[in-house]
Amino acid sequence: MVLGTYKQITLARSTDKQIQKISQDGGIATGLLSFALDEKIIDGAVVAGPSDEMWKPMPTVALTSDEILAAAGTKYTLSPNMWMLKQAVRQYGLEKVGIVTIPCQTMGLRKMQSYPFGVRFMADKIALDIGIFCTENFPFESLRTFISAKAGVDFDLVEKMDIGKGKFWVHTQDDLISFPIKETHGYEQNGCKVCLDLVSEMSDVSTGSIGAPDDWSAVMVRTESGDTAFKQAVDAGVIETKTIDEGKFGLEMLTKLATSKKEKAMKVIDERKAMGLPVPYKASSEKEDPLANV
Amino acid sequence: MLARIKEFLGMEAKPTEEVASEQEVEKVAEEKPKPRIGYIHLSGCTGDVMSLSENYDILAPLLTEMVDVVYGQTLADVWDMPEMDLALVEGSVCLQDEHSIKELMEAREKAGLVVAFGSCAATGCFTRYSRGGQQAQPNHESFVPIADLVKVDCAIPGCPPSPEIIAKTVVAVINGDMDYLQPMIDLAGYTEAGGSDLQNKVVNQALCIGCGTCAMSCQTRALDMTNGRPELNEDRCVKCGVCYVQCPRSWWPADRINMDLGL
Amino acid sequence: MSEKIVISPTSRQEGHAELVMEVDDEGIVTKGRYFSITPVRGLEKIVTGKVPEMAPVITQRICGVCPIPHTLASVEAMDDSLDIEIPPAARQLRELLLAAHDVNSHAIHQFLIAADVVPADLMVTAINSVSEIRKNVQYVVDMVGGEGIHPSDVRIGGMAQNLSEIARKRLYTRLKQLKPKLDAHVDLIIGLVADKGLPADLGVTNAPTLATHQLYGDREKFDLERFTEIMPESWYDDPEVGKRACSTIPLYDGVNVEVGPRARAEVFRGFRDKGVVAQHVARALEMRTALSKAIGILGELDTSAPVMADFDVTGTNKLGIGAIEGPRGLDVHMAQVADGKTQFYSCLVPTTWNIPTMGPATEGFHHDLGPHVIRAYDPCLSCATHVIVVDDEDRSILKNEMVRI
Repeated sequence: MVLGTYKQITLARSTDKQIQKISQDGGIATGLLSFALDEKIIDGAVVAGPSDEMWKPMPTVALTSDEILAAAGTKYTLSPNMWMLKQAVRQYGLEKVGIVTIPCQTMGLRKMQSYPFGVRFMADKIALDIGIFCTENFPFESLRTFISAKAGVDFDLVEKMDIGKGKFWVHTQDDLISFPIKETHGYEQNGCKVCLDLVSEMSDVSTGSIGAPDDWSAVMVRTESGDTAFKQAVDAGVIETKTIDEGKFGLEMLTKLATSKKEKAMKVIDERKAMGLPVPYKASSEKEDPLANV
Repeated sequence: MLARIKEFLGMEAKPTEEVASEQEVEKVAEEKPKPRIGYIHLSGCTGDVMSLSENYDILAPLLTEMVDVVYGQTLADVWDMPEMDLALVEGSVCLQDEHSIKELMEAREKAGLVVAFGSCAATGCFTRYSRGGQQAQPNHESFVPIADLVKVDCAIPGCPPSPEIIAKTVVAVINGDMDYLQPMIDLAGYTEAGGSDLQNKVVNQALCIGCGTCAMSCQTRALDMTNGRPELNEDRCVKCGVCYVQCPRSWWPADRINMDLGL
Repeated sequence: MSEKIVISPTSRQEGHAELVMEVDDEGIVTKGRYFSITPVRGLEKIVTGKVPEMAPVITQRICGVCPIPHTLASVEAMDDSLDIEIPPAARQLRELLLAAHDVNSHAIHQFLIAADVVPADLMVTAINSVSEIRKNVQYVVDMVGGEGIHPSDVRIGGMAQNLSEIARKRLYTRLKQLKPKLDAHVDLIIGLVADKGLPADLGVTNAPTLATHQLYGDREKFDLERFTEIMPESWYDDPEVGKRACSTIPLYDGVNVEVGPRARAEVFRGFRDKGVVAQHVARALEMRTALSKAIGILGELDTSAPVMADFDVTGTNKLGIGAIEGPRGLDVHMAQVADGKTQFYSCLVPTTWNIPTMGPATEGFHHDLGPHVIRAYDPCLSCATHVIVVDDEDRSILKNEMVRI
């Protein structure tokens, strides 16, 4: 259960050349949302779109495939996508909303749906939540430090960033610079330290690069609605799949990293509890499965 | 009926093959006596009842088949407050109005469960800003959450609470679903709402992850997100408590969510 | 022997409003006094000394049944005090919001009087009709106002944002589809009221009507010079009523007035009927006018137009007036802003205008009809009520009887 409940786990990538070119890894979030929009499974989506500032994402309501494509690619800093959800159903008038969320945002979304205290007529309008794998997230100024100080690159020249093989990679037009991921420690936001969820365990479909070879994504299909949308996309040839490798660079790695995130977080949670500090989750001694997301 | 309403509210996973057991649940539920519900209106704006009435598709069966409304100015014609299973109390209580206090005390005495219905009753909401001095009763000065005077069993904050949470709560009460009600039970007596609780209990405590749920939930748009953290415009804050209540880092109902999602 | 009949929402001395009627031997009301006993939360004083932005947020919480007029009156008062001219599209959105709310609020009103006029076998039809209408117009309020009950997006200087084009088209289609249903609903209500056979002149008073606009409100038509406000102690001739009443008495040209859909219909649409039946009919007919207006605005709204004015929030202490025709009648908020803070704030809410008129409106008929007269004017304070006959001499209770809502 360390990866949460899922109906299917697979490798997948978008078959669209343009999406492949622009997006991170297999382009599943972009490809699946575009497909869902075309098929009217959703009538718009909340995504981390571009802002006036390079690499500083802005939660955006995308109504067209072009707008979804403009939001492709991972930004390693905060984009409060949940914030834009109300705009999406109110001023934009969406009735079937797609949304991309990292695990903590998935939690905010699902809690709102089960307990919509102050949120009216929205819970039933979420049609598709695509959860992104997330080890941790960085405040924008931390990201700036990585790029300017550690990689020594002008922010404006960066074309893509990613994390893999133990390194933080910065792509420019002519260069590929990297530094060990260990060097990012201490720069992550503090709230991530108690997070038990690497793989968006409560999303409809979750996806990320961990456990997948280059240009592919690992995908976990979790709920009924996620299953329906993903199957349709595969049937339509928009997304192609192949079996995930069970071994060291596949499922094993994903399981290992998900477990390690939970173990580290549990340690922090237990410590905080001992100090009398608040945490939303139970301490390890309080639950049957110490790594369960409760 | 209950099963249909629950399905409508998404309170459980979509029906599976276990149709037989579901029918049994429905049968048991329908055999149970209907809970007797009273509505007590103190210093509130009736917005909470308005929100309740916006359960358009299930309002009629909910009110007529699922519960007995035994008391309440807008819902029933009863003068003496009867014994009730559940009293929904809307509005904060004015300490200078002896009649309000008396009615609240009586509700506590007559009701099995007292629910602070809406933020005025639960947290005081904007009436926390009251300071008297206004005609025609300048002495009406102190408006406090009902938990200041009586023991509250359950709180449903929100200004107003959404139609869905009201319906879900009522259904949970009918069903004796204490698991669903637990967060409301825990929120009873939580009266320190006001945006600053979000700052003090989440951001200050290194728990905020900048997801934006608080700002999305804010019913007055008092919250923005700046650099991935909530920024409160106090001039728009009504102290309803919703931002903290919706935050995924304030409390976390993992089991319920998994159940609702069929995971 | 004259008896006094007290109708109070919860018990003989508690609750939020009381109707005190003196009746003769036949039970005919000879003197009616209606007054509010809701605790005063002091919203006007809450917002004084604070930044103007706070005023609409707080004052829309005066009432959860008619929060839209309060919000609009508040921002209009602030706009006026700060000499802001809002963009035309913002004005359209405000008018759209109010039109949708009017339909919703009138439908709620009809729901609350349903037991008075709807026979049991038609009750489900009537309630479902109300719900169907509310569901659709509240969809408009949610999208334009930001929140369906207390709107978040009506702001000083305009609106927080324009609708998206997709939302405009969606709302337009939905309201178009609602039109035949609303027409049928209006016919149903008018028919049911006619079938009830209420006395033709029930609830007729001599009070003049006051209305500033046929649907939205117009501050130019509200002349502050003609307005006075007195304390309940000097209005009610019963000193006990005067002391306990929680709302002040507003007068126009020195007399109490009638506001609301019938008043608007009389002033702007040549509607001549008076009294309770006329109230019901005017209210139902106004739903049609409001829906047509909403559809019209949605048909022509430019969703790319700006909806927020540039303005300076400092203020010159000008007395700003916001006059909005709410479902129950004229809602006036007054505000003065100087040094960036609200220096003065006052609200004249529809029910307050009608309160001194509603009591006398019960006179001349049996007291059994009293509660219905109140509800015909304004359901906000009438609620389910109880009659207690009190002996005038020693004020002891002679009998209790409940009356239908």
